[in-house]
Amino acid sequence: MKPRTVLIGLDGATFAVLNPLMQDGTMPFLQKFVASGTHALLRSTIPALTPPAWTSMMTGRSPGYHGIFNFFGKEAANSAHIRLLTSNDVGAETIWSYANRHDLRATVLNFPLTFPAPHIDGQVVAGGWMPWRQLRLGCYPPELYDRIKTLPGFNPREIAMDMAHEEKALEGVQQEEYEGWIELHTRRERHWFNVLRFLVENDPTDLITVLFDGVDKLQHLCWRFLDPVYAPTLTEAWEFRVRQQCVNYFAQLDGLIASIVELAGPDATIVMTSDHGFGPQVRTFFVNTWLQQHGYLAWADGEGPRPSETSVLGMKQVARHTYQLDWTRTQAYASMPGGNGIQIVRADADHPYGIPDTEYDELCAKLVAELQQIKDPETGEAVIAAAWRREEVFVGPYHDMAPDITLELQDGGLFSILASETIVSPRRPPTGTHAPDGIFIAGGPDIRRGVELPELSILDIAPLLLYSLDLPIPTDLEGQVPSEAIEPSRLIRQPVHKVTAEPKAAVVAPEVGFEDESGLDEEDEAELMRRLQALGYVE
Amino acid sequence: MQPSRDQILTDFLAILRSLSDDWEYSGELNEKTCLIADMGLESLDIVVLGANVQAQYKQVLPFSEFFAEVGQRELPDITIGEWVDFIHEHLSAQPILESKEGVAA
Repeated sequence: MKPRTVLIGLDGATFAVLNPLMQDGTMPFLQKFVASGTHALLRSTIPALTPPAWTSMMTGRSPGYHGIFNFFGKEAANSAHIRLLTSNDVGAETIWSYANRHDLRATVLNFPLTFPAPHIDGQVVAGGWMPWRQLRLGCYPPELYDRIKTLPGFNPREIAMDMAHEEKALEGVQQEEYEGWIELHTRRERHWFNVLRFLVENDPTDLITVLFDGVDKLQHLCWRFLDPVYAPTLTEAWEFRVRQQCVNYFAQLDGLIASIVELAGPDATIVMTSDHGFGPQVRTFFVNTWLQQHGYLAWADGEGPRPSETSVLGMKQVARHTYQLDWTRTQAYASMPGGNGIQIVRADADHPYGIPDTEYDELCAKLVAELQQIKDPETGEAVIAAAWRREEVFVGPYHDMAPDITLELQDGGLFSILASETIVSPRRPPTGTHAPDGIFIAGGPDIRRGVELPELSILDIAPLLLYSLDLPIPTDLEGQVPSEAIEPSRLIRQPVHKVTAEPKAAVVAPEVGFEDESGLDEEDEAELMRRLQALGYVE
Repeated sequence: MQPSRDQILTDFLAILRSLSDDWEYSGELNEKTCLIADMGLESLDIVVLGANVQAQYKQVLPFSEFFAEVGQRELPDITIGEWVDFIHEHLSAQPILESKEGVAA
């Protein structure tokens, strides 16, 4: 048996990096694949962040409907406590679950929000924030870990998350550490390929999904070595060596992609996507410092968490804001790194000094207006490109679990939640950061050849994958099958078949604030959907 | 039925034993063993262990409050006994956490 559909995820991949690497011969397979298939830009979610974006890709639902806005989530709508989100928090059906319900099996490798591993008919090795010491718990079926650990060269410390390595990515590496760090990610991708090959050869499933996340990690740390714009700034021998290691990573990745396509065979539909694009981050915006200086936030010790504090994710980072903020004088704060989200403290029994409901709208409007006035003191540029209130961008039953305000920074970057002497500081040299436009590349016997499409939505991928498996498309998926990517003969043979989504009876939410409290009537929802469509996030 | 403290301890030691074999930890595992100082776990390991406990017992437990308290200690660490006490104290008899997607986890 051969897989019918293969999704190859390239976390953070952007044509801005891939096109030059295809043109200079570093990625010859990808170049041929693009030329012989269909490609397009792929619009990410708001925020353009790994957990909400991959979850939207795998469910066909926007964050307000699946409930994943960040790596972390609030414990309840107005809770200051946050926790690491898990597979249990995904509030919409994934394509692998849907495929199972239609008697198709699936393989899921290295995707975020798959721990604890869902009990699907197929195989799961969890990704995302999956510590290597607990990778066994991230495998399903449970005996899968014992099977893959016998693979030649298998190293759980390299294939899963080792905080000793992640710390480097977060804090930056020394000049002499770059090459080893890039080599680690090159080996890591090969480990994932080895697992995939083992499963395809020994227990193939109908749908194969695998995520290579080194692209994102390299681009965060090594943007100036990858972006041709910064090539003239590379002058020293070590910088050219780092550049060469980055190029080698992509060359190796090209080989792995070629091998996966060969393993899948000529009849498979191959889809390659990224969850978001990438670009340079030229400054750091310290959002909590801005909130403090404008009277919206107060630190209990007067100073707040300093940049010198460890940024290693763990217990302290999940909890420290709860004791570092002065809750009698804080109206707004950001507790979660990554999602550019600001929370408003709403008055209730736990937060007697919070904002009363009657003042909430006024405060949000004031904050949005003031945030958009922030200028970079060096360049005079606006720091904030857009500030959205949650009702503007997060429709759905999990709307009240979203941040009250979500920012898009002018350079596409992610703000810092640490305290600082200044509100804005330059990043020299720039690092890489997320951008809204990712990639879509598809190939196979039913995919049109040599076609470039206008931008697609990340919400279009789940319908496409289901269509490629000959499955009906539930009407509650928010995207569309991109029929321009499909050979007309296939569309005639197999028109897109939509079915009424099954009632949510099977979906049981925990009793901790996940009820539908959006308070939106049908007219409100329709208006919000129109806004999302105007923004290009919903077809 | 709500598990007894002894059952919770037995369950947790079984998980730790199966995991610690994978990184060849051969030290003692008892109520006084510290997860970080003795077993070498990292802070994120503990956060993820908490997520696993919630999936195991199908209940949402106030781990973030627990971590907030631990995070303020001079030496942020947790013994196995403290971990078990916390779970025992907060587990209620009725499971409430189900996978929202409707797929058992």
